[in-house]
Amino acid sequence: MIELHHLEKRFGGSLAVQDLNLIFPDGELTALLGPSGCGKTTTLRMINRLTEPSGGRVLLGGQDTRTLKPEALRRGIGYVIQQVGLFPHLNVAQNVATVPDLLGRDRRATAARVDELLDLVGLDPDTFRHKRPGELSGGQAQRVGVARALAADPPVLLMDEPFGALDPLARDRLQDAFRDIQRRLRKTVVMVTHDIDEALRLGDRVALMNAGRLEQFGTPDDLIYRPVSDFVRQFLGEDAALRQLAGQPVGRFMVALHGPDGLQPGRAGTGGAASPLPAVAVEETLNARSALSVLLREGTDRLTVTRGGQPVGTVGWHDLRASGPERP
Amino acid sequence: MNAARRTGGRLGNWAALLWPALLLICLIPGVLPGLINPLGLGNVGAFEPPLWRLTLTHLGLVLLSCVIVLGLGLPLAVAVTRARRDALRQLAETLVGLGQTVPTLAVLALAVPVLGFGWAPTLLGLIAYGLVPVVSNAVVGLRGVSPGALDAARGMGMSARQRLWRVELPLARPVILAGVRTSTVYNVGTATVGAALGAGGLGEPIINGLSQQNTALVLTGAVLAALLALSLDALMSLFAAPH
Ligand SMILES: Nc1ncnc2c1ncn2[C@@H]1O[C@H](COP(=O)(O)OP(=O)(O)OP(=O)(O)O)[C@@H](O)[C@H]1O
Ligand SMILES: [Mg+2]
Repeated sequence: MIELHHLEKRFGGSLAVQDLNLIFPDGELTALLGPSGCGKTTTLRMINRLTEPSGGRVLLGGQDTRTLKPEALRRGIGYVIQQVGLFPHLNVAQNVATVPDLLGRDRRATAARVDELLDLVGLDPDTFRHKRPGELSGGQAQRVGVARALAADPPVLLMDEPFGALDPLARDRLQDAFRDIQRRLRKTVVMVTHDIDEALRLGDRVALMNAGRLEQFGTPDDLIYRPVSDFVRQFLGEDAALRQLAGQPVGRFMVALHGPDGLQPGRAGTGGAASPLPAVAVEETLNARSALSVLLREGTDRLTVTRGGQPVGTVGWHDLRASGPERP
Repeated sequence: MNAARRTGGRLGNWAALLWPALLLICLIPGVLPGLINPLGLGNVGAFEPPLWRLTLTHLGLVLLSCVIVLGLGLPLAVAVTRARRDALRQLAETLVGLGQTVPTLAVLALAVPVLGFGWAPTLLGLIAYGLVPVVSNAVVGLRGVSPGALDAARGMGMSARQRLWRVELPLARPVILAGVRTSTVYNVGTATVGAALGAGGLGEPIINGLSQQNTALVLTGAVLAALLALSLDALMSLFAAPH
């Protein structure tokens, strides 16, 4: 758990961050969102003391970070920066091994760990281990950057626009990959982004900043359905709900069918016990926004959701809205 | 591809040995006079001290100055490229640059009253001249290290010393070595002037040849100095090659 108490950063006469109070819960990914220049990077860098706060405190697991040596603090925190910052004179394996080496870990154990991490981020160790950063594509370099940050298995990960420099396709792929990784590792992640879709897609929680202050902190649903100010509403935009749906498969919203033959919708009010399935069907992997579009196009209230052509549930517009998506 | 690069490197290695080999051949007693005398520019006989000895003295002066230049120049460049030392850096660059604007002979002449005749004033001159390319290249190299890599190194928890040894110096290495190479090659030429102060070396036949109006003697010193410079340049290109 990372706690920010009355955190403040002054550059010359102007406040880049002021009176920031925030708690990043353990095992969750918090997206630090906001317009350019609102103080996201400054906030992130105050957590690992790359920038020293001019006021307030940062607690990491209850301990004031000022009581720790900056180097020791940073070795315990994974850090991914936008420019990737791989060391060009070292190969991929040496780059990933940076922090374990600094910590004096056993060489052979580290080598095994490097392979494991390259696998995890979707790079074949045999192909990539000995490549230099100069031989990698942007997406591959970014994956190595993530692997490097994870190498010493830190409980906390700080990421500054980690997917910012990528083209949309590569970004989508890497976001998916990272979501899977995070689902497995459950790190405490703070991810800076100014991309609303990314924040809604990856964030368990979103901290929306404006001009150095915290505007709203909550789940994506909170921000979309319960914005606390006009700024929040405007920043997310009128189609925020649609954007959120776009990042989720419709299967996550469906009401599952009961019974071995799978013919009875599980929810009261959608018809009698023997009511037939809706005529229009969509695959469960279709994104929820497209499913909503199908509902509108067909002028119907419910769709059948299929897995490999077999009906597994139904979904109506109400399911898409109601409590928002459940988070795995 | 890797294998190809390795054979390419090995070919380069052999080519780099061409100049040192030529130099050694010319140092075999009688070889160089045998080549130069037929030109009819004068007469070269046996040397006292022998040519290989003059060459070694020359090489010793150049290498010693090179080591001292590295020992002074590199820490200086590191010191002035630390954060928030822009003023210091400009001062150092100006001072080092001054070393080059004063004529060689003047440096040597000024050093004689203090250090006397012999190799000492020559060494001083070589250090003053050698510092310029080493310091300026090292400063350029260290300042050219990618800010992303430096920021990442800090963010991973490297101390200032670890950043220097693990990131900055390795990344600046090619530029620094290029500076050392330039400095050394120049100093092979500069060191010939030292003979006027009694430092010995390959300047000796040149100066004797001038005073005796014996062009063959001048040619002997000049050819050996040139071969020495080319040899050092070639040998150092082996170090500078990225590995
Ligand atoms: N080292 C610095 N010196 C002076 N001012 C700074 C410094 N770093 C940041 N600032 C200022 O602080 C404010 C916040 O900067 P910060 O980099 O935290 O913004 P950001 O939210 O990360 O923006 P972006 O999305 O563009 O990266 C900006 O007005 C910026 O100009
Ligand atoms: Mg930023």
